[in-house]
Amino acid sequence: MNTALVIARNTISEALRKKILNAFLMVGFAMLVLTFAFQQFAPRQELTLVKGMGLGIISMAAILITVILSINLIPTEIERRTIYTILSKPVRRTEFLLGKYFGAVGTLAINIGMMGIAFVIAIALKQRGAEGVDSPLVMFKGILMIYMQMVLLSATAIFFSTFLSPLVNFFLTISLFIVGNLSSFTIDLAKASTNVLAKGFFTTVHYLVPNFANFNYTNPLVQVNVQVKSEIQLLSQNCVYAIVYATVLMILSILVFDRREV
Amino acid sequence: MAAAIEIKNLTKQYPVPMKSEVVNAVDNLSVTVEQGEVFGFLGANGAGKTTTIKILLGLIYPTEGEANVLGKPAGDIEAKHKIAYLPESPYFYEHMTAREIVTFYAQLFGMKLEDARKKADELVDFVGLGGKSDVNKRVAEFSKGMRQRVGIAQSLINDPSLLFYDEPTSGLDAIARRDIRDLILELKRQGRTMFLSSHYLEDVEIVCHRASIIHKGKLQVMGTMDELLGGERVEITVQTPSADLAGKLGGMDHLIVGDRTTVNVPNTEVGAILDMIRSAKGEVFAVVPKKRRLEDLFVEIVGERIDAATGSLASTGDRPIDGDAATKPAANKYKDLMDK
Repeated sequence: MNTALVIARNTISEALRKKILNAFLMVGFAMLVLTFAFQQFAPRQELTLVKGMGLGIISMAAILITVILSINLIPTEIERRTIYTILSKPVRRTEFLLGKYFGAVGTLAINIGMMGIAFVIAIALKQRGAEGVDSPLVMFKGILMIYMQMVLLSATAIFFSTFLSPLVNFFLTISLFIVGNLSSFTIDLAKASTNVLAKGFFTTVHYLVPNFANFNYTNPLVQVNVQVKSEIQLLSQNCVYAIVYATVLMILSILVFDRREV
Repeated sequence: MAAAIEIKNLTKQYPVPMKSEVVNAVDNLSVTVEQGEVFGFLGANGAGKTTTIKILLGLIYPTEGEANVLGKPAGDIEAKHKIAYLPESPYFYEHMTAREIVTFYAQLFGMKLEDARKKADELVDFVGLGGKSDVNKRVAEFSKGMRQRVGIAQSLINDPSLLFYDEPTSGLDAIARRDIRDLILELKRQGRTMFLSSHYLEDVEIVCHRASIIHKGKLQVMGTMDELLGGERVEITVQTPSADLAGKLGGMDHLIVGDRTTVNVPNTEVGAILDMIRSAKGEVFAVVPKKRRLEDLFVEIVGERIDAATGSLASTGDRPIDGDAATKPAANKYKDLMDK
């Protein structure tokens, strides 16, 4: 495990220097600032809009950073042959793969964390002096859900990267993310379908594709009239779901990568 | 003591894209390298050298056959604690300094950060990158020779008993090449086993105890340098030999240029041949000692295989230009070396 952590630390240090990822991060920050330009709404409406858009922007930037980072982690090591010198050392392929994944989730924690902190500070400034509003710190619940969603998305992209090219992986991961966000529709389609094949297809898609929609937690944070029965239970269930699903995907990745020729 | 490397009937096949055929990158290869030996593994581009090394390191898997390293199956983690690998044109993380890279690799051996840093300082100095001007440079600013030195430094972290060096002097200028060669000689002096793949045959000739040449994945020859190069030879040039003498010289390995005939003979036969020329009243124009080079053998073997494959003349090498030589059997004349 120590080896995996050494590789993870190195992955983070390299990822934080990647210009394209930093560009997405900067765009994220810039757009967060832009959301504060809305002045034509009533203060409460404006706050709702800013919170909703802010979480949306963090989510979009996080998706781009996650996908671009994760689809390239393994292929880049193979393409530039750094993997040769690593795997010729006493490093198991499992340790290498876990190290790359931990590096990815570590990088995401830093990037999403930075955007989240900036967002919460901005909300705090925006609602300064306002009465009857939630603490800006509750926004961290939404940011945590975005992060867990990205932990799962990164595992999906890394799994595909063990046997697909980055280009194919990009489209497949994005497609799965979209399908996974439409999880409630796929089960409705399965229920409504009379054709056995279609029913089977939609049911399989529903249960096989990770349910990324679980992590969309903007409404309870932004809309006053949306209440969650047990917030802690929901959030912890989502975290466990992401960890379990990501673990399964990493086990599959290890099985594929263990026989892969590099 | 187990052999350092034991390859038995190793075959690696790759499918040909869009066809139902396979190509043999390595074809029924059997090689044994003893402990403490520096072994040259030679072949033209695409001969299967890197593929073989990658199998030995467990980076790819053989289609058939067996490969053992330090008595363990290729890729074994325990064996990897004692081996080192320097790939051809090594690439390292561009954002790191030489010291950071070696520290990173040292940690992969389970060293604590502090110990890894100490080892890195020692090795970076050893390969000549510890100077003030280099120590803070990022790899992105390094020349090819400097990268190669980093590669050598990372290959020595674990004090390896077996080193795989794939084209360690490839693409380097003459000075950098000599420096790397000196480093390899130093490692040889320390008694380390080395599996050295190189295009620079004179380097191989200087540093290796034994060598093999492979072509299209197949072993062509293998032996000690003396066995491969066949000892000293001498070229005797005769000016305008008589028809009788020309007939006798024609029976030897010869070359006719204008009215001069040059024969290439073993050192031990020089006296007898000179006597024979004098008794036939031939005029000796020159007697030149010639040491056969590994390059000659390489061109002879690989060139002939190219001829056989394409029907075209070999483009390199000072091969005999007379008709007899061109029709020499290509495959069997090195059989004695293979048997050794």
